[in-house]
Amino acid sequence: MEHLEEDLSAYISGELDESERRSVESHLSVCAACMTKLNQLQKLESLLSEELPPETRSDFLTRVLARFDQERKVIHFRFRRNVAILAAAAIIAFFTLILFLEKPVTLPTILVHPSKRPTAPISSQPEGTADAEMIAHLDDLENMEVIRQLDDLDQFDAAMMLSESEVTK
Amino acid sequence: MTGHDEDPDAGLMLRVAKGDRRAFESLVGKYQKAIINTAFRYTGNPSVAEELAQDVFVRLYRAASKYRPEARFTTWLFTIVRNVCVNYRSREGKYDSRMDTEFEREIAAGQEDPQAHLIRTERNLRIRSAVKRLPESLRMPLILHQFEHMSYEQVAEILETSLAAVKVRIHRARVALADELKDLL
Repeated sequence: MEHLEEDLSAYISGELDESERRSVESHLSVCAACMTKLNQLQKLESLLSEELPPETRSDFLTRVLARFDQERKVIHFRFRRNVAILAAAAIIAFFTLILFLEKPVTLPTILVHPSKRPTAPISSQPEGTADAEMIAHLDDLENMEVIRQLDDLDQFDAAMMLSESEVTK
Repeated sequence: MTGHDEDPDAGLMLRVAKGDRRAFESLVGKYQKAIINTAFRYTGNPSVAEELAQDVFVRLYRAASKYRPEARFTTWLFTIVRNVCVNYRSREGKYDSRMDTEFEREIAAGQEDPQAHLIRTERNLRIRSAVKRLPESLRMPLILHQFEHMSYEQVAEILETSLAAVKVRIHRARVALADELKDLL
């Protein structure tokens, strides 16, 4: 015969429905071991009900309310701070937009009609000329570096061929 | 529960969310004892229990804006209690366990004849110690059901577990206590 387990506790706690309760009672009427266990758990129930926790300190409410007031101030401060941050962000965004709208829009040269493209010679445009010269100079430097690396590779190949020929000898 | 018409505490919580001090005071007055007792039975230390109960109410206020009256208020509140108690475990070492017995003496002194007081104190300490030694998974379900008289269903909601699991855990906790305290039964 299978003994009762958690149903025994549920029975004491009144957590069983009518049919479950009847089933437990039917089992208890024929099972001495479960009946003994039930008696033990009922005594425990009685013992635990006698245990009373100590009284709460009388100033508990005052202390909790003091913390409530403190929290409320913190929450209000955070709220005001966040509002101030949002307002500042909105003002900055507004003025940035104004500045952006006031700046004249310059289209890239390629989009401008040929008849309206600047006709002045390149030499008379100091900014463009300086950029072109700088880029050309960078290109030169890069080419020199590539040539130097190629020279190194040639030397490396020559050395390899020499060593191979020595091995074959 | 479907709204604060059926659960007056839900209505109080909505007022707390708007910063209503009186509503907060009402909730503290109504639940302070249950929360302190739960924390006390969980920790076995009355001073720590009061500290944890304060934390619970502060968290309740902080979380008030997130509260939805669809949930039963006590379930929501005791979910906070459970979390605070579980978090306490990690910093348990910093509290002085001597406070426990000192507080006990202070409260009970002069209230009954010394012999009876001694027996009762000894018995209470045995019970609390046995409850505190229960594994974490058994302790909170037992406390909520046995001492706070919550149904299995509500305990399951608070602990976010199944009804069957609660049924088993409460039974195991009782069997363990009966074994531990058999000389008192």
